Amino acid sequence: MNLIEKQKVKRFWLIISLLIISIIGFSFISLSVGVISISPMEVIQTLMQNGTEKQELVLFDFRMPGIILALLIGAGLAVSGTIMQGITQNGLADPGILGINTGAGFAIVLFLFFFQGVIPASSPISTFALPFVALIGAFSAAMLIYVIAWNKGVAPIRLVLVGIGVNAAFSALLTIMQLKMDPQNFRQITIWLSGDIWNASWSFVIALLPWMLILIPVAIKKSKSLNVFHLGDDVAAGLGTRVERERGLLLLIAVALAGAAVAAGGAIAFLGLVVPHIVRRIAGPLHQYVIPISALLGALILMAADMIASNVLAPTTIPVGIIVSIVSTPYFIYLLMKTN
Amino acid sequence: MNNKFLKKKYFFTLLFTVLLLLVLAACGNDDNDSNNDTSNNASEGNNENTEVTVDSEMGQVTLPANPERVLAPFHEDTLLALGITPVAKWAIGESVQNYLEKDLQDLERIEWTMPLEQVLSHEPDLIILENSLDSYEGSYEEYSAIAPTYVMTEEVTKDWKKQLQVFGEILGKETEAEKALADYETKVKEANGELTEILGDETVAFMWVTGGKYFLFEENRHSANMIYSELGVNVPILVEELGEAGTAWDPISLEKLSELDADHVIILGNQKDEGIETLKNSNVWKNTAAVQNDQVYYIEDESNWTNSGLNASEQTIDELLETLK
Repeated sequence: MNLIEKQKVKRFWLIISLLIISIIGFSFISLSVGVISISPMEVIQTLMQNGTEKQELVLFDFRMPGIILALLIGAGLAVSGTIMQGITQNGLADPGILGINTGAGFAIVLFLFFFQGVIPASSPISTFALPFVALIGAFSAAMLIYVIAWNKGVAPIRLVLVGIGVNAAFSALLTIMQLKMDPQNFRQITIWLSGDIWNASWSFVIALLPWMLILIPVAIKKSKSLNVFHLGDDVAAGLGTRVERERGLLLLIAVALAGAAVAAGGAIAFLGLVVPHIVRRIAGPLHQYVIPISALLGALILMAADMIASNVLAPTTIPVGIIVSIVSTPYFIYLLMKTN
Repeated sequence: MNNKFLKKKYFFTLLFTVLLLLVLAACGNDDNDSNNDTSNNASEGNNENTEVTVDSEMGQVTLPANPERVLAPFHEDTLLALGITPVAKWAIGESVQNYLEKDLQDLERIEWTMPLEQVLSHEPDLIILENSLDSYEGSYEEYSAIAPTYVMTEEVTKDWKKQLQVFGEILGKETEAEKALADYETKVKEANGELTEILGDETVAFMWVTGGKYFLFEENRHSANMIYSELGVNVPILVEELGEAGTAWDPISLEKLSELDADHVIILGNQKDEGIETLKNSNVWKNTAAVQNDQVYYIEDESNWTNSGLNASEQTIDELLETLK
C-alpha cells in the first residue's frame, strides 16, 4: 500500500471513530431530553439498573426505541441515496425521486381508504399493516419505474426521468385521494408524508435491525461495482462489469433499504440526497469509504433531527422530516452558491 | 491491500453491532428488576375492594377500584357529571373545552395526541381512551405500561349517556350515574313542555360562525340532535334538506342562507368574527324571516353546543330556554 492510500485509510478510520463517538454522545443527550426530566447522572444510573421504575419506563420503553430507530432509518436512507446517486450518476438522485416516498404514501392512502372501517384500530394487524403496506407501495413504485425505463437496459438518465414522472403521477393521485377522504384520516397521512418516526417500539426496532445489518454490509461489498459506474456504462462493460445486472441488483438493495426506512419512519425527504454529497466532499468518491461513512452520518443527523423534532415544541411533536428539510435547505443553497 | 482493509472494516462493524446488542441486552433485563420498585401504587390486599374487571374495546381489563388521578381526554364532561375531577384537561395547544372551564380552570392541559411522556408526568392511576387509537401518539401497550388503561368501544365513545353508565361502572359511581341521567331526563321533559309553550309551531335554526364561514347545524349534529328530537323543537325546511350530518361539516354559503325559513335563529361564535360582520351587512340575510321579526340571537361561546356530554347538554338547554323566553 503506498503512502497516499495509507493516508486515506487512516483518514477513513478517523472519521468513522469520530462519527461513532458523536453518535454515542448524542444518544446520551437524547436520552436525557424530554418532558420528563432525567439528568445525565440519572440516565447512567438507570442504564445500570439503578433507576426508578418510572425512569426505566421512560428510558427503555419510550426514548430508547425511538433513538435506535432513528439511527437505523437514517443509516438506511443515507446508504440508499448513495447507491442511487452511484447507479444513476446523478447527484440529485435520492430515494424520494424514484417514487418510493410517494408510492408508499399512495399505497397507505389506498389501504386506509378501503380498510379503515373494516379493521378495528385495536387489533395487532393495524399496527403492522401500515408499514407492510408502505413497503409494498415502495417496491411497486420502484418496479414500475424500472419497467417503464427499460429499453434494452436501463440508462441512468432514463431512470431519473421516469422516476420524476412516476413521482408526479403518484403525487397527483395522492391529492385526489386527499379530496375524497375524511379530513381526520388525511391529517394522519400528511404527518406520515412529512416523515414521522411513529410507533417507536422495540418490535419495530427488531423488525428493522436485520434489514439494515444485512443490507448495508452487502452494499459495502458492492462498492467496486459502484465505483466503476462512475466511468460510464461503456467503460464499465469494457472492464468486465455486467452493467445491467449490477445496476438492477444495486437498485434492488437501494429500494429495499429505502422501503424499510420509509415503512418505519414515513417519507423523510432529503436525507438520502444530502448525506452522500457531504460525505464525498470529506472522504472522496470511493464507495468503500463513502457508504460506511454515509450510514453513520445519516444515522447521526436523523437522530439529532428527531431529538429536536420531539422536544423543541414540547409537548407537541413535529414530524422529523420537517426538521431534516429545514436543516438541508441551507446546505443546498450553499452547494448552489459554490457551483458558480 | 483489499484483504487487510476488509478485515479491519468488518471488525469495526462487528464492534458496533456488539455495542448495539449490549444496549439491547441491558434493556431486555429490565423486566427482571422488580427490586427497584419505588412505585407509589401500594394497593395490595383484598382484590374485590381494590380492583374492578370490566369489558372494554380491548377485551377484559382490570382497573383500580377507586382511582384518584384519572385522565379521560375530551371526556372530562362525563367525569365531572359523576363528581370526579381529572388530573389534566384535554387541549389542542391553547384551546380547551370552554364550557367546562369553571370546573377545570386550575387544571393543567394535556395535548389531544396524548404524548407519552406528558401523560406519565401527570402520574395517572387510570387512563380512559377513545376507541379510535389512531389520534394518540402512543400505543395501547405503552399507555398500559404507564397506568391501567380503559379503551371505550365506539358506542361508548360517541353516546354520552352510555358513556355515563360505563364510567359509573368503572369508577364505582353507578348510583351517581343513574341519578344524573334521571335528573337529565326530568330536565328534558320540563324544557320540552316550556319550549312547546314558547314556540308553538315555530322553527328554530342553529348556526356556528367561525373563520368567516357559516356552519348550519344539521338535525343530528352535536346538540341539535337533542334539541330537535328530545326537546321537540321544530325543524326549518332548509335544515331538513341538509339531511344527516356527515363526517365533515361543510360550511354553507350566504346565498343558500338567504333561503332560510326559520322563525328563530341562534348564532354561535365570537361576536367579532368577520362572518358575523358580513352577515349583519348582507341584504339577503336581512330579508329572511328571522331577521325581519328580530328573532336572531347571539351566543358567544359555542363549546357546549358543539360538544356532547351531560354538562354540555344541560348548559345548552339552559341557554336555549334563556334565549328564547
